[in-house]
Amino acid sequence: MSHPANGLDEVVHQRVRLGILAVLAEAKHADFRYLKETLQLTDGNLSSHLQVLEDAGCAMVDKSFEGRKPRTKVRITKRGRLAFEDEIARLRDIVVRFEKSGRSG
Amino acid sequence: MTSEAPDAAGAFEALSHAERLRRTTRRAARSIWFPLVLFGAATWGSAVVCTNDPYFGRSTNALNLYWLVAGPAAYLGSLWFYRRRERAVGVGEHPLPFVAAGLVLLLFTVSFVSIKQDGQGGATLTGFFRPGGYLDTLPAFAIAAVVAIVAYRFRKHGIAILAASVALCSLLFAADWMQLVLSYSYAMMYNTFPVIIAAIALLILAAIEKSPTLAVIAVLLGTAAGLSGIYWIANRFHGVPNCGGELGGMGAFVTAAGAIAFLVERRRAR
Repeated sequence: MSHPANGLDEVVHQRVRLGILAVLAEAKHADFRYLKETLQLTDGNLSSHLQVLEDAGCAMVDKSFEGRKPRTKVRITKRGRLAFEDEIARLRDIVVRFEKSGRSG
Repeated sequence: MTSEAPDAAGAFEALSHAERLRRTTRRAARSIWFPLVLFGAATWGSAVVCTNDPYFGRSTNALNLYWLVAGPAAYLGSLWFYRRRERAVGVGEHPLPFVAAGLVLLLFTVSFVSIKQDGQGGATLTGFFRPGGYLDTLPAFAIAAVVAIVAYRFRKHGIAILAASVALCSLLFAADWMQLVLSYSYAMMYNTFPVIIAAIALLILAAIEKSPTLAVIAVLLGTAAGLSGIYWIANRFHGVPNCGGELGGMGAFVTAAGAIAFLVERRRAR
């Protein structure tokens, strides 16, 4: 049986992107502003991570106007949700595996 | 083991990080104080509408009509609150469970509006939930099945609870167990069923919001409403109950819970 760490998806595994997906998994959508404040990122940093997630088909970015105010909504895709859940399951596996080896060793 | 230790420490840290962000987002997106205050105020309002009747104990038609308006109004008010909050906070909630819950609750309310008094101390229901026959209750079972499919499709526990509530209610009426249990035709439902519906609504909301506090409040309210109905049966033989006081008390309880939730949420936001 291969180690669960071997199957980790680099797009999702990266700390900031995992954080973005964790936020998006709990909501229908999140504003760019909310993500920036919650993850404590700069505009440019968040944009580049969102671009990676969008390119991988894990997130969708929707830019619109509400009155005169621009609003950027980000939502998770089905693929993104699956990738996130898979990542969480693998991380849990690693922790459980380590705990088991600690008990037996 | 040694080579796995950094992996495990990293995995544990990543899991904690993700869980912390999920919790923060849940708290930001979800709020319970406003629906509580709204449903509490609606229950309070029902105490004003409720008038004591020397025969039936309560003027149920006025109460049912009141809930036909107040129920959907409180629901729509909650919807408006969540929309407004979504814009202010920047996180949107999944609308499907809320919409499904609202539609079924509306159906429940409409179904229970047509109660005919027979002048003999009993009553006949003319909605979906007619007593004494599985065939009559078939539409209600169909609703429960559709809601259960939606719950399964979207993996929503709140909708599953809703489906189970509809199915259980249908079964109670189909088998006429309600009458057996209470030995008086639908007295319990007569008096406090709208409040029990409000309690079910809160329980669904609790499941959607993943809020144990709200679930406890909903169960307490439902129990209080049920006991109040049974209390009325006993009281009917000894005097006229004070329906305004009972409903007013329940309304005050929910409103107070809403006020406490508001203070807790405000403290967390700081």
